[in-house]
Amino acid sequence: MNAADAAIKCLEKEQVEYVFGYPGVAICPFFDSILDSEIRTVLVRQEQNAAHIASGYARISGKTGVVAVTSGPGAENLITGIATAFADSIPLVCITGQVDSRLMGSDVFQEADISGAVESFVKYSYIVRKAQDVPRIFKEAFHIASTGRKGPVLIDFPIDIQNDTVSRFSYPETLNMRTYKPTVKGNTAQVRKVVKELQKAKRPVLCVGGGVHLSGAVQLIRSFAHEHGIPVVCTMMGLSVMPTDDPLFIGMVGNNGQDASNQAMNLADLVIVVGARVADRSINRPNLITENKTLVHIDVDPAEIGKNAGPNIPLVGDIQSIFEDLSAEEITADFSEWALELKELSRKDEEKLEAEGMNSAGGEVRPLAFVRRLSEAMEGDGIYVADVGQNQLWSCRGAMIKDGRFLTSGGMGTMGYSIGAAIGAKLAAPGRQTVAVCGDGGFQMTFMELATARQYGVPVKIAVLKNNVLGLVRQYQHFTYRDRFSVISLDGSPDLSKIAEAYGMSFVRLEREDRMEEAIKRFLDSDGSVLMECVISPDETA
Amino acid sequence: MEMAEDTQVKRKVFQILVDNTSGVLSRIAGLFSRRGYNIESITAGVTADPRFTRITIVTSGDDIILEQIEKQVAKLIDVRNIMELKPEGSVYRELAMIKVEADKEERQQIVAITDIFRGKIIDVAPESLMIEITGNSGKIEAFLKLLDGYRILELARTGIAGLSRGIDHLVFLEGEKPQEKGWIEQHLKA
Repeated sequence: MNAADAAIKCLEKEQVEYVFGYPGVAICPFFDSILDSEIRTVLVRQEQNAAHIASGYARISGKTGVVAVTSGPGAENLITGIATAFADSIPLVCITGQVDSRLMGSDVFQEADISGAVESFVKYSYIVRKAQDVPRIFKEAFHIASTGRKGPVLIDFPIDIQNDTVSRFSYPETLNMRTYKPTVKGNTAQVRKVVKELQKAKRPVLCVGGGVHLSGAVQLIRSFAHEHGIPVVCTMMGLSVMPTDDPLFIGMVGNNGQDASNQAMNLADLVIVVGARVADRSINRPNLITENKTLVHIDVDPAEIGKNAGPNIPLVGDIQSIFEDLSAEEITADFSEWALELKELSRKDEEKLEAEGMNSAGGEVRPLAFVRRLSEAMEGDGIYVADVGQNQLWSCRGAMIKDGRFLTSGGMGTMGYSIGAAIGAKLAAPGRQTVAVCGDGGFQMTFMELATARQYGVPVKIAVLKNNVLGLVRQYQHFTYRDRFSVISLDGSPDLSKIAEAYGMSFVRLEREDRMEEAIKRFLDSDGSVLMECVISPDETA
Repeated sequence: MEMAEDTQVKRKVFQILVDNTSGVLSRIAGLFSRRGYNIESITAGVTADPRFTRITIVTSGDDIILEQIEKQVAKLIDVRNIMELKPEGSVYRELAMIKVEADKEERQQIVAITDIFRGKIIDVAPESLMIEITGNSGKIEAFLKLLDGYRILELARTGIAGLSRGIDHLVFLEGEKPQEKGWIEQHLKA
């Protein structure tokens, strides 16, 4: 057995279903060994998307996504995908082929110092120096990626080491990492303090982030909120923790969020932030968040607590474990009336949204109306993947998510993420309807993956909001540079109906509001992959 | 972003114990540079147990930054422990090597100053002297001030290394107790 065989054995032990990637000479021993395994491989068309597919897969399956690419340019192309996963704390193990270890550092063909390059956006990285280290390194890599605050781990694997003999393979059952022991259980005294604050509070708000999804604590949060009638707001990454129409759900916070949810944060006397970073996109002036209120910050990563806002009660641990503890405490308080008050505010948001964002005077398709109707028509457990740009903001504001998931690249804002992520999500849950909504800019960054979807029979539905411009930049230039538009025209874009045809997909075009219902129905009801072009005005703002 | 109240910049010395993996120093230094933390000095050397390295880092920042430094460093996978070496509970030492131009007359004067500071002359050449001096940074600064009347040709400073005083703040490399006597030799053999 060589070290590449050993690596595949490790993946089997970790119950890996898929490896997404792209071969090259330096990773060939690995891709040779995988032929003798049940693990399925997916050849992408560009390495960045291997990470996005793995990310979508990881977010829906709850497992660690695995990527394997070659050295040099292969690894370099992967960088954006790794950084995207890191920003959203998505667990990935990325294996990169590397040149012969004896030649490393001498600038040979397709050599790049990938572990150095990704240093600041991986959770950890390894360079495999000895064949016999493979089992330990893989065991550690999966452990690090999937525990604590999750994230991508890189394993750089020189070709000569891949070919080296491993005399005896044994996968470690347990790990003894002296230096890595993430806190799972929340401090009991701190948990009690939270309970005490809740008992005292008149106007508490739960602010949920992506950490709730990552911890698998969605149901716990929902029932905890309902048990006590606590209103819930969310960050972009926390969308779909609560169903959009849940009576306790007030909306998304931040510049791009709703008035009611931002108001809720202001009016609250107790804010419990759960698995969110309190980052610039969600909290404008974080140091003000503690004025006239008690701030509780629950997160698995102690470094996030106090980074942007100093909490009164920090609580470090896994959200699932902490909410199990909180649910076991006796809390008699009920805040249903306060929640009703906020829901009233949120109704006003909704009225405004319909009056300003959805109403079509000249029969044109309004993007907010489109994402609303599309999401309403989707199956209850459907997966809605929003890309980046205006389409993301419209999706955040307009999408109605029931028991499904809302996925997007929240931290890094990587254009084109939605196509790969949708393919990965669909592979993780073939029975669930999966829809990507993107702009014509993002679409053209990654639509080569339509071939991947076709090759592996992954039926994805992609709706492109087409305005022939880079809408969010154009909007910014409209407001900030008084319509001095610079480098935002997408003239020269391809005819999407022909793209659909070229990739063997059905095609739906929507141009007039009165055809919306029918077009959405065709889009969602068609078998196989569907590409939809939804023509909107470039003057729409998000 | 607006900062909270206490934005006064303070200096802190941290002791960081890390797994002696390849690239660990670059991971620590990289963290400081990419997050814009200041490094006044950094020293690293293997501990009694060669699997670990002890790093002493002198940094500065306001309360929020210093708290973040501690948390972000602790978060690195290779870091076993990070602890502040408080001035009142610790000893810091730095070594400086100073090459000074010295003719016959100057030589005597420089040797006299060096003696007062308990420094050593470690090299003598016809036109120069090399001095070794050890102490906390303040002592070295004071010594350099006195040498200002001479021509300093070259200066090498190690940056400070530090340890906490007494046994109240020991950080054991493994387990809850210090290793038995003779453990290192046994361990190294194994």
